[in-house]
Order: sequence, then structure tokens, then C-alpha cells
Amino acid sequence: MTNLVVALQAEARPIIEALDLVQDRLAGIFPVYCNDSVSLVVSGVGRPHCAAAVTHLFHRTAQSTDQAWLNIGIAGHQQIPIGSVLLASRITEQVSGRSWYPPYVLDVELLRSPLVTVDKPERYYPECCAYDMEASSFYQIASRCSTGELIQSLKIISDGPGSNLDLTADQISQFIAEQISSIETVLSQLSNLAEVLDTARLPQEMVSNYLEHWHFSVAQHNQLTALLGRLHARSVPLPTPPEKNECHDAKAVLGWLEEKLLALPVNLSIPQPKDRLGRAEQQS
Amino acid sequence: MIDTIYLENCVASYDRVKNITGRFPEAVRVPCERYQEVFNPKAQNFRLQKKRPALILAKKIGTAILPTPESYGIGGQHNYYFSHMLNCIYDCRYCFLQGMYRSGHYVVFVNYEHFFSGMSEKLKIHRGEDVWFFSGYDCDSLALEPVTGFVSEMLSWLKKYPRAHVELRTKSTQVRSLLAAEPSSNVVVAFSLTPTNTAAALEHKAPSVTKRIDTRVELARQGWQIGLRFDPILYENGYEERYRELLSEIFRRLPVHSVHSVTLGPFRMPKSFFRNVVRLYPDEPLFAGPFVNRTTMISYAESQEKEMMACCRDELLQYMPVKKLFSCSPESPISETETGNG
Repeated sequence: MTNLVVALQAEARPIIEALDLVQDRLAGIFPVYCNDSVSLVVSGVGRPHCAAAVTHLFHRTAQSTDQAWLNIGIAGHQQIPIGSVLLASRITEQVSGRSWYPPYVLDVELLRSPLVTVDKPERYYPECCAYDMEASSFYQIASRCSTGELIQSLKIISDGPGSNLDLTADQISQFIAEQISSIETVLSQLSNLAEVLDTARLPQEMVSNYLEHWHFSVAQHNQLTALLGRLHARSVPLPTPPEKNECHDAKAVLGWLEEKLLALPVNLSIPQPKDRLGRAEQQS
Repeated sequence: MIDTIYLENCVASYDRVKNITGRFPEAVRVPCERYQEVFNPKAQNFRLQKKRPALILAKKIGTAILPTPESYGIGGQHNYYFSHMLNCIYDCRYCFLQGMYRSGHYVVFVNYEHFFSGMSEKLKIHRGEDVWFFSGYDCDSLALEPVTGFVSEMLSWLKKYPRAHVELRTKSTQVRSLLAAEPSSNVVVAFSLTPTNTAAALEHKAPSVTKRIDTRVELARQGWQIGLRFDPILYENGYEERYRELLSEIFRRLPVHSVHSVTLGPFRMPKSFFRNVVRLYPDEPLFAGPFVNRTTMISYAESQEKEMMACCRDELLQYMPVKKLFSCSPESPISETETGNG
């Protein structure tokens, strides 16, 4: 699941349309929109609302760590032309002076700029930065839910020195709509990155096969997961669980798995061309 | 390829920093107060950052030269290590750095003089005696040399301090700065090696073993002292034959007299680091190997470790005298009676 956090309904509208999101009627205190792979929450303006909305979305739809999180919204900038899109290279909370540095591992050709999160709309743009009202609390809370590489803040420049700050909802939607392809590119890359971490995990059904047939204490459950993980890394396919009469309890199952692991030959090397069998095939 | 350079505000005006950043004109530059703000936060994933590591240019503050663990050395009495850089451009799956650091970014400390003055202080402490300084503990000594120029500057510094001996530990073939200089009798260029097919599976982004041997031969021909580092020694079925082939290939091409020292080290990693690397790479066969808990470390069972160390030692003794062999493990010395060398 990729999680989007926007402040305004006007910012959300073009994204909801482009991604075919449907409102989750049971969502509760914040409006949430979903499809199979994306959830979007509309937080309202300002840091406290944003922090609460991230927490809400995590409990409502995400519920697991290491998912992608993207904050999308309009922002002001001292220099970058209106309508441009950028990713935050540093997020500074003006009120506390604290900074966060979203690690950048995407492969997108977007501008990157420091971003300052302010509590009142910035009309003077004193530094060569973008200015918004949510990103610092978004990053601060989202980084409790996921790893920094999967948390980014994407801003579309809507104002700058001398420009009008009183934008209509339609104007705001228009800014977002014009950058939908950039948003989709970032979403796709974040989702691919999250998959790297997801595929590295042991499939839950492998553990369930054992939990259904034997009672494991918490410590034994951890040992089971570790042993199955090691077997998974070393051999394809995993051994079929033993018969109940072969292993009467969890302790016996763990011993049985340890024996299986010890019996596997250790082969770390990449085979030479003359010997084309893969590592896993050689071991089975 | 560097996309992002984080710059501590206090080093932004250094000429050295301008030279380094000038090599990456397209990189986004992000100012920061201290490098730890970028490098240390919890919510980071080493594995993901290795896809696109950033460069962090920082100032080293405080002690830069530290004593090595007691068992570590290549014949000297006073041994220290230092890290002008944190992290490595290679991505070796057995490396402890991936378990030690949360970030995969490269930190380069650009106040090189701080390291040189730290070394001078150690020389003053050990007046009249040789002192060894090991580089490449938290990084590869040479891999980023074309960007940093640290080793070039250190070679100039070393000319004035013949009592200072330096080991440059590397897998890199970036040796232009060495080839351009006069061979120095107080420098050992130490190459880390694993058997060819094992290296191909585990030493991601590193030059092939063949290229490393080529580089070593070139340096030896010019007169540089060469170190061979088999650390970690890794267990797999038929490891004996793999190490035998590797040594045969090395000594077929490299004259033994150019070898200053050989170090053997069994795989060992602090428990907390090992837990972290398994979390990062749960699908890596290496970590599902026959490791055991041994006090504070994860390593092979003692009997297996001794067998592997003995096998490699015996093989090496066919090519060179025991006095050039050293062990990184106090539990597996090169010789039960001659532990002075390791």
C-alpha cells in the first residue's frame, strides 16, 4: 500500500480522479480514499492536522511498517517558477529549527529543494527554499511508520514573491492536475522500492503451516521464523512440514528443522559457466 | 554516480570541498549543520540507500586516531587505526559496516590535517619507535581516492615521518596516485581477497579478483610493498580447494619477496550487527550458514574456524615463511607456540 497525505480537498481531487480512488465511508475523522494499492487522506491545513492524519491513515489502512508515504501539496518558493514540481531535499520546521533529510534513492528527474514548514502563510520568502505548512509533521510522524527512503514530500509551486496567495479551489486543483504524471512516476518508484523490502520478508503462509499444527510459545515462534527464514534463504523449495506423529511438539519440530538446515551443503559461490545449475538447484 | 551531496556548513568554504563538489556538477547540494543529522537517524535503510548513496562532506571533530583491537597487527608493537571516510562504495555482503551503520551514504571527513596531526601525536607518544596506522577499517582506503585525494596527501606527509607506517586496506584498482608516486617503504598496500567465485557472489560492485591481482602485480613491479588479506575466510563446501586455487593464482603472478604480510581472519561479527544484516538481507544464503553465538560475536564454531584457519595457513606456508603470516583472531593464532605475529 502507498499512502498519500494532502492538506486540501482541492489538492486531493485531481489525484482521486487520476488514480480512481473511492471514498472509504467508514474512515472516521479524516476523509480517506482508496484503491487496491493507494490510500489518500485529506488532513486539513497545518502541522497538527497533518500529524493526526498520518497517524489515522496508518491505523486505518497501512498498519504495517515499510510502506511508501508521499506528501503532496502546493507550496511557495522564492525563486522556482510557479507550476514547477519539486521534491524536498531537506525539511526544516521553522518553529523548532529542526531539520529532516529524506534520503533520496529515486530515479526521477525532478527539481529538489530545501523546504521550510511554517505555521502561518509565508509572504516574504526570505530564503531560497520552498515554504509549506505540513511537511515537517508529515515526515516526523511518517518516519515512525516507515523508513526514510520511502517517505517523500512533493510540492507544486503555487506562489512566490509578488504573487497572489488567495487561490481558488479550482486553481489549486489545476496546479496538481498539471503534475499528475510526475506524481504517478514518483508513486510508481516508491512502490517499487517498498517491494524490495517486502520481497525480502519470509512469506507468512510458510510460518502458518506450522502454527496450525503445533503450539509454539512466543520464543519458539521466533525460533521457528528464524529457522524457516534460514531454510528459505538456503533451499528451494522448503521442506514439507513433518507428520504429527513424526514430531509431537514444537520443540521436536524445531529440532527437525535444525537437522534439515545442517544437512544442506553450503554453497556461496556463483557457478562457473560450465556448471550452469543455480545455487538453489545445486542444494536441493 | 552521486546525486546528492550533503555539506556541513563549516566545511562549505574549504578549497578541498570545492574540488570534490566540482566533480559532481549535477548533484544537488544540501547544507546541514552536522553530518550526524543525515547519517544517524533511525528511520533509514542501508539496503535501499546502497542503490543511490549520497556523499556527505564533514569535519572530523575529536579523536581521529584510535588504538586497534589487541590482536590486530602485522608485526608492529604500536597499532592504531583511523577512518577518513565512513562507508564503502562496494557492497560486500559479509561486511560489518552494513550492520553497524543505519545509512549507506559515504561520509568523507575533509579536514585531512586533523588525521595527520593525530598521527604525529601518536609518534610523539612512542618516541623513537615505529608506529603502525591502519586505514580502511570503516571504508576502503583507495576506492574513492580519485575524488578525495586523501592518500596522495598522506603520502606526502609520510615522507617526513619515516617512523609512521601505514596500511592501506583495499579492494580497489584505483591506484593511480600510488603509481604516480615513489614507492614508500612505510606503506603497505593490502588487498582483501576471497576465492573468485565467492567474490563474484558476495562482493557486489567490487573489482573482480583477477583485476585486483593485476593491480597488485603492477604495484609490486613498481616497488610497493603488498599485503594480502584473507579476512573474512568464509566456509562453504570445498572451501579448501577454492582457497588453494586462489593462492596458486596469486603466487603464480606475484613474487613472494614483494609480499610484506598476509593476514587471516575468520568471519566474525558482533551479534547486534549480525541481527541488523539479517534483517536487511533475510534472503542471503551467507547469513543462513553454519554460524554460532560465541560470547559477543557471531562466527563459525570454534572447531570449524580452527580447521579453516589451519587449512589456509598450511597452504600459505608452501609459499612463504611463517613470520609473514598474521591472524586477526586471538582464538585462532597462526601458531599455538608463535603467537607474537598475531
